[in-house]
Amino acid sequence: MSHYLMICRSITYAQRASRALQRAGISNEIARVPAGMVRSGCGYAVRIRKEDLNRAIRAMALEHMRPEALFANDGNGYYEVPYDLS
Amino acid sequence: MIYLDAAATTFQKPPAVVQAVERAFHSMTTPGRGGYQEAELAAETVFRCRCAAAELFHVSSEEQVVFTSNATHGLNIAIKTLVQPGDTVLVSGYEHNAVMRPLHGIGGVKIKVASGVLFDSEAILRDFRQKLTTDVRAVICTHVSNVFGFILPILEISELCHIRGVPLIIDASQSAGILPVDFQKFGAAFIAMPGHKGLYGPQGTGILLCADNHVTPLLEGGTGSMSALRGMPPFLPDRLEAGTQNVPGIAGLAEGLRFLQQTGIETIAAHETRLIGNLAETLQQWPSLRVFHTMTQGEQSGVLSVLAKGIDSEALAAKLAQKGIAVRAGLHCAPLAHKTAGTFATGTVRISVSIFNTELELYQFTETLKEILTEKHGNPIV
Repeated sequence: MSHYLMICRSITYAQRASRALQRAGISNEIARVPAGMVRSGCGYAVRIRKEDLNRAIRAMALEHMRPEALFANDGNGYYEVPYDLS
Repeated sequence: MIYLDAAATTFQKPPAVVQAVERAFHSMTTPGRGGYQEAELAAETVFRCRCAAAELFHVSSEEQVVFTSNATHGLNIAIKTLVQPGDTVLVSGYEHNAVMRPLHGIGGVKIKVASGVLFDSEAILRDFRQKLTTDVRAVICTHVSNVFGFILPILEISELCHIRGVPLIIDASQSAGILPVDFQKFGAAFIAMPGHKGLYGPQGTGILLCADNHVTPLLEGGTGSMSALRGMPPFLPDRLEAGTQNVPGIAGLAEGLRFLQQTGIETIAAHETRLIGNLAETLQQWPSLRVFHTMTQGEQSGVLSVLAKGIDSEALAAKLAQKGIAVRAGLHCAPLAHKTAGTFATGTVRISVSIFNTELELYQFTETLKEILTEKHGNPIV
């Protein structure tokens, strides 16, 4: 199934993000980031459905949060998605 | 046993605290160290505790809630972040060694003391105003004296620090869970507190509330995040939480915080001050005792120090212990507080209560103390 991984700097940040998304009614789950996707090693991410991306970014922004990076998976592995997260 | 040493550690805990600790042993490992169920459950539990603490102490982000081993650990981080050798700091005259020893340990720190008179908020505030000069790098102040239960005017002190642009470290060891502690309102750089006193968590737990990421780690090591970096992650709470966390302790602490939310801080404060107020009223009528008490509302918590004429404090506490009553005697790791109050040479006997103490226990304590003093003086009341 197509989904996005929103990379978070720590597990606590991922947990905060997950809670913010839940409050906005966006289903999500916390996942460990596959090796090689984060240059600094060991990372956590929040997995969301592809169609929820814009809503998810907005819900996080409301709580002054943003992911470190964004990866998509269409069934053929992950690739980084350029997205203006500033 | 009648336990009257809650200012050291609350001995009676809500049953849910003990159950949570046991459950954690059987079902949890460590947050941030794996994607398996036991690690995830640990992560959820730790985060739930952070959320509860952030809510109770009015912290805007859970990331600003850092778990420590105790208040001393948190105070060491706070002090060593803000104070460098050669700096000048201003402290209250009621500080614990958890503040004074790290300051001495840094070396070359000039320590100014705002003393005032015991149970005189105006006097201590005047001293803070006078001594908070431009050379002061940081102010460190306890919210409540661990020896006398004196509630310091922390809001006014924090306003003063804010006006003069000096960071404030608050030691909430004797106030967290007992009085309102509001991180946003106090505007402190750090607030440190233990988990095992008024928060009813297990020993070996503590919380440090931090205003921002500008912190100096006391420990460096693995955090389960940014592992390829040579240094510690630049963000909280990871920057200050190296090594495996005390997950069973934090699980218990989460239940302690839940107990506080359900019971209400105001209810706890009212219960403890009523017990201590009634006790002080009785003991003040005994000429053989010096009782450190104020009638002023809101200036004393559930902690009372007494001094028996002609009986050494340690000896009196030992006699009480023989009769099944636990109190604490001596300097209470706070020699500065005793110097300020003029009890450094003798120490005091400290009676401190929690929500689990009853009027009956205090009555039994009074009768036992009367027995001991009668042996020494005849009738202590005459």
